[in-house]
Amino acid sequence: MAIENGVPSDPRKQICNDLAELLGQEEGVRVVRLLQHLELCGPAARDDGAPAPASPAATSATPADTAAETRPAPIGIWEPQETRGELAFVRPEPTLLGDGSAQRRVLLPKRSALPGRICFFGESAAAGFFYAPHLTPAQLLQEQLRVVKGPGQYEVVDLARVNESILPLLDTVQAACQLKPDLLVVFAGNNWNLLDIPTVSPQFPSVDTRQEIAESLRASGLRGPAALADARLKNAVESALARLGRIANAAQIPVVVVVPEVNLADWENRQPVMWLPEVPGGGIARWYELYGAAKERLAGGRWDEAAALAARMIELDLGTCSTSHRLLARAEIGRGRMAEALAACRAEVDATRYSTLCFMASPQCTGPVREALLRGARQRGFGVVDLATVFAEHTGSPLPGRRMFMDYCHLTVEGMKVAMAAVTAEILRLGGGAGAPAPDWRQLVKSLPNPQVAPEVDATAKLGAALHNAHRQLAVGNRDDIVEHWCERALAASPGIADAMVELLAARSTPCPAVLTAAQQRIWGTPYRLTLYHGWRSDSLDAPVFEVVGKLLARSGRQSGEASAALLVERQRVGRDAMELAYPAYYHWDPIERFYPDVVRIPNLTQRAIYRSPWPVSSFCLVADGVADVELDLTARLPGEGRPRQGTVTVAVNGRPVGELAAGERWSRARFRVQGQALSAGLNRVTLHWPLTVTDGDTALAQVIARLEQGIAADLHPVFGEVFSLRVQPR
Amino acid sequence: MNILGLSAFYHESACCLLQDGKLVAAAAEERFSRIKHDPRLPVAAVRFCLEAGGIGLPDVDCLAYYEQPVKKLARQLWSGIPAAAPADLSWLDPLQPERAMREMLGYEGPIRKFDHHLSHAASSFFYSGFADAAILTADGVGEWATTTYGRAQGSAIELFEEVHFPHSLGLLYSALTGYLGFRVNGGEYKVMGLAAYGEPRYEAAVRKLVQVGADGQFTLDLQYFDFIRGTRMYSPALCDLFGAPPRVPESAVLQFHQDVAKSVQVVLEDILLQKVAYLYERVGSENLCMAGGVALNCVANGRILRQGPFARLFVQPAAGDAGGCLGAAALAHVELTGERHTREPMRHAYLGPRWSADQVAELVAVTGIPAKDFRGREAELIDEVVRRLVRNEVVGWFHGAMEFGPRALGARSILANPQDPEVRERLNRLVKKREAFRPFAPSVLASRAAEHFDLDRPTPFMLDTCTVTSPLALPAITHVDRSARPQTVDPVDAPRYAALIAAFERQTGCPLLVNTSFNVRSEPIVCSPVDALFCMGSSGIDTLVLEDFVIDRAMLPENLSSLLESWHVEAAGPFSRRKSAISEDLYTFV
Repeated sequence: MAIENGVPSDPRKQICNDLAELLGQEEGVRVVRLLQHLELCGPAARDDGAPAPASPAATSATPADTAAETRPAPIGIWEPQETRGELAFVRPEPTLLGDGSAQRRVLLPKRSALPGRICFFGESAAAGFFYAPHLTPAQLLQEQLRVVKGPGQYEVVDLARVNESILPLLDTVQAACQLKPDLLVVFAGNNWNLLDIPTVSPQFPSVDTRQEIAESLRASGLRGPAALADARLKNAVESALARLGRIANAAQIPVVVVVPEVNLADWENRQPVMWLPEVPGGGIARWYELYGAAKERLAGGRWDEAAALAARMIELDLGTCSTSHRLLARAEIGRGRMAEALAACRAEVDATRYSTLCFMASPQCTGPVREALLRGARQRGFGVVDLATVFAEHTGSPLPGRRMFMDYCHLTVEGMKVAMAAVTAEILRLGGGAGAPAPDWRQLVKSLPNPQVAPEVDATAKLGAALHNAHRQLAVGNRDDIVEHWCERALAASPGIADAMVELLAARSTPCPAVLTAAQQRIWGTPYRLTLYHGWRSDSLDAPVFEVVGKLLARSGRQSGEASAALLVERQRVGRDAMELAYPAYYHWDPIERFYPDVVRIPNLTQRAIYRSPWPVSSFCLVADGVADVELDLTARLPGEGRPRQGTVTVAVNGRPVGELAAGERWSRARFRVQGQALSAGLNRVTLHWPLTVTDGDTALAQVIARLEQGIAADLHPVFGEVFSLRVQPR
Repeated sequence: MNILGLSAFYHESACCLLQDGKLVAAAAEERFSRIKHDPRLPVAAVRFCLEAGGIGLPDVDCLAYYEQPVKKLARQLWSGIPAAAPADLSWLDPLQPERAMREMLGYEGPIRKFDHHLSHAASSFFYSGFADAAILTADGVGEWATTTYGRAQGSAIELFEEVHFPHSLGLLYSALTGYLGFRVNGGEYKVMGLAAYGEPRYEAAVRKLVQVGADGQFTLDLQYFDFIRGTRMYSPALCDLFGAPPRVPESAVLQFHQDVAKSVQVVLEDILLQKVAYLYERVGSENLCMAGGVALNCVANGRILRQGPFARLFVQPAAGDAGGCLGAAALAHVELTGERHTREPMRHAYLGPRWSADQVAELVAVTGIPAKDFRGREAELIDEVVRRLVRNEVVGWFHGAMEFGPRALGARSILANPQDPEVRERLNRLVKKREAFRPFAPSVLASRAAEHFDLDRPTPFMLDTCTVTSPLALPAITHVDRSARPQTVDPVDAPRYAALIAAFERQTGCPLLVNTSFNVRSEPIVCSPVDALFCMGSSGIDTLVLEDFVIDRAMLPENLSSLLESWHVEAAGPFSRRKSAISEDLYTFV
């Protein structure tokens, strides 16, 4: 018998040793995972992180949902305090860079009948992203109510918050009952996907999650994961509304639910396609051929052909790819078929893989969430404002765009005015009783004065919109148009913002975090205070912004293109030391064109040391002086998902090929000389074109399912190429 | 030949590069990711090491990993499912480390794995310069072993005895750390510092927790511990034994807590002394090598050196898990070449990234922060810094290659005047924002150390303690029991740092400085000049010396501190890295 620590060794230890050896083999863990999946071993919990579904019987308030807490509870970031014997809720001093919450420091429980108190909840759109704290929907609502009903009748307490999600929002609603509101307004739904159910993603580090996704793939093919996400989301929304109902019933106050609309005309969600079955006339290579052809037709105004190509793409990808729907939407817009365009846009939003954490998309309220909100709110007798209907009527178009929206979902001043007019009308309608009937929102829009905002504030908001579009939108078409649009609007609102734009480029011309730069300090001394919500968190050279803003500054005569380029050349040109373009992402042309875990850190998830491309083309920034030759040193490979893959990677600079790398599944390396005259002084674009010799989608998908069943992360989308290193150095 | 050593997936990941036998680079991932004790695959550290070696990943001949996942899994299986472990058994996958190295790192070459404690042992012996040695490693737990005893000669290491989990000195100390209200596997050194204030009134109670056996053995009385399956390290029985509930974190530290700290410290030291004596008898070398987290207990190390039988002691400066990568790389070198990679001792730990003065100049230009430029004028730079130190300013000192290991050694240090009676309180409160009882350590010129400390040997890594014998009043670095944990600074290894201290001595007659790590509480030590600027902005540092540049806090833009603070918070984003699924009350086993 083995002796250990002076006593006979536990015989179970040898069993554990043997079991560990077995688990250390490829099939070992797989066996355990399959047993887990069948709930024959391991904890059976399948915690999807969603709120527990409401019991059908739970129509009355539960103690947890009542406002009658025994101790004061925080309301969001407002902490309860006793001041001169009275309860107050106090928030910390707002941060200089903005913290996403309203700035009112002290909230007091209501003490008198008037003014009637409305507590206003929601996400960044409700918080007035870009214009806050100077102008917010809550401020507008209060002002509109004042104009209609006179002073002292209503007060709106703004509790909306950027990055709000379902559970914290409901917690805030519940806690806000301590303020003794007379009515609740909930304006939310855009974030009701990613932030609330990250556990539907194959990237989420949970064996249970991954096994469920594997199961959904087996059961429903490509549509499986999205269907899983939609079901979870529907569950989460219904639970949320049930809880909202309990809270409102307990407090005996009415609720108005504002169902968001999103930007359909001027926001696009380009995402790569999933693994596709290799069928005759189909497959990934074919899909990308169609993609290229469709874009070309659209550029040429050949709408019918483009529509047909897009429809074929949708057939191939089974409607799972937002890109295909957007191409179709563009074609339908070109053809003047707005109803069809609307359907395609809605399908695009719903197909965007934001909820499955595959790609960094933009939070937009999806169709299932809209329907659940509308249905659930009406069932419970809540007031309802459907902004899709309101905006369509107001603009005369079913596809709201830049007139109502700054970006994917945040409202313009006009958008806020119209939205709040509808809310005002609904609030007054719910008020009912004797007296004049509630005004129609259309009349209110006409009669209410336009919100006044200082030109500097307006310009700053519009510049923020330009930056946000540049950072977050992946367009099928030309994104520069919308970025330029907002930059021009900013300049029109307040020409002095050109100085801030100059400083923006100065800050962006260096890898140093923007907040440390002298440029940011100078901006801080102007009326155009760019904060975190103006993209300061973006850790990249920001090539698209550089290009567009630089062009506009040159056009306006404020700063020449040469001067803008000179900033870059002075600070970042390939000089004495080699520069690495592929890692980290600073020199990526569009950093969000990557898989989600490579863009956003997920806690407990291992990071990668290599760049992976979900697209057949990858682009990087190269800053040169336009004189000296440089050398590109590329180490890359072609992952094959179970089948050997060979192909040629073409390297181009500013659209012109400079060489090729014969690549396979193991790292290959090649060097390319680029002559100085082929480079511009300033920004240059280095592009890698990956071969489309991609593995059969069925085989790849089977591999994905096998990995997920083992609890291992897997990509639902092809990886066209991997780069360990793309170094550039002077020649 | 290029060998990458890797520690990852447990506590404190790190990477090192042995290039043709030379240790060219080593760094912990936390310094790049800015996540304290980051356990994830050290992708940034790997890329740094490759860059430092001028190679790409395909040029790596061997990747050496610091533990055996299958063996570790066996121990985890035997332990059962800990309460704090992920419920989905995601940890039940011993192939995960290698898979990560292949898929996430992109490594295609051979991988060699070594036992955890063998990696610790190698991290000490192969970097000690000793031709032969006895080896003692001790930590929380590796695969099965928590403590090992070995002998080494030339290129060979033999571990001839082990103590197995759950009997562990590291876990004993960690349990009391948790009981005393400090973070497990992070707060142990606070307990060590607190011990000096106490009396060993509870020594008898602590001795009930652990029984010392014959040879190298000892056992914990498991009725007092809950770390195997519970949600904290100790059981209610331990609280009953001490007659008091556990201390609430951040609450007042009472005499009782100081006495418990002292008691566990004394018992740990006694056990180590006994085992070291056993080792000496068994091995017959005059040299002792130590590694493993317990070897970071410099008070115990000091006692081992003073009272133990060995003439010489080498403790790996990165004695914790991060240092396992060094050992793994060294072991791989022996396997591949038949020889140890060097017979020279590790003289310094300056193995991390460095920034040139010109790079700092570019940063200064971009930030527009007024800075005095001393490029080409080192003597004047030093005089300027000394003037500030003499004025009792707190100086953030950033120079050269970053240290590897938990100690700041003059590359990423906060410096102050040890003769200033207020500096300790000020540093703790304003700069480090940490508990008031925590002492500071000095850096002293190696040539002058014996005049101020009971020291007869170099101690370049701050890994043992000694008594302050200085005729000078040194309140900032003299602990309540008159001990100190000095770093001896040799001008061969740290020329500028040594020159600074020498200049300070010329001005003040005092050849030492307060040296604490350049970070604030809960943050890793700074790595880059940008990190240093952020740290300055959010702390009470008066002056920042970035290579050849001196930056005055008074010259910072008025709102920079607020901007930096809110940037720091907002940069976390919706998936804040600050949230952790692992309890701070429990040693992580998976």
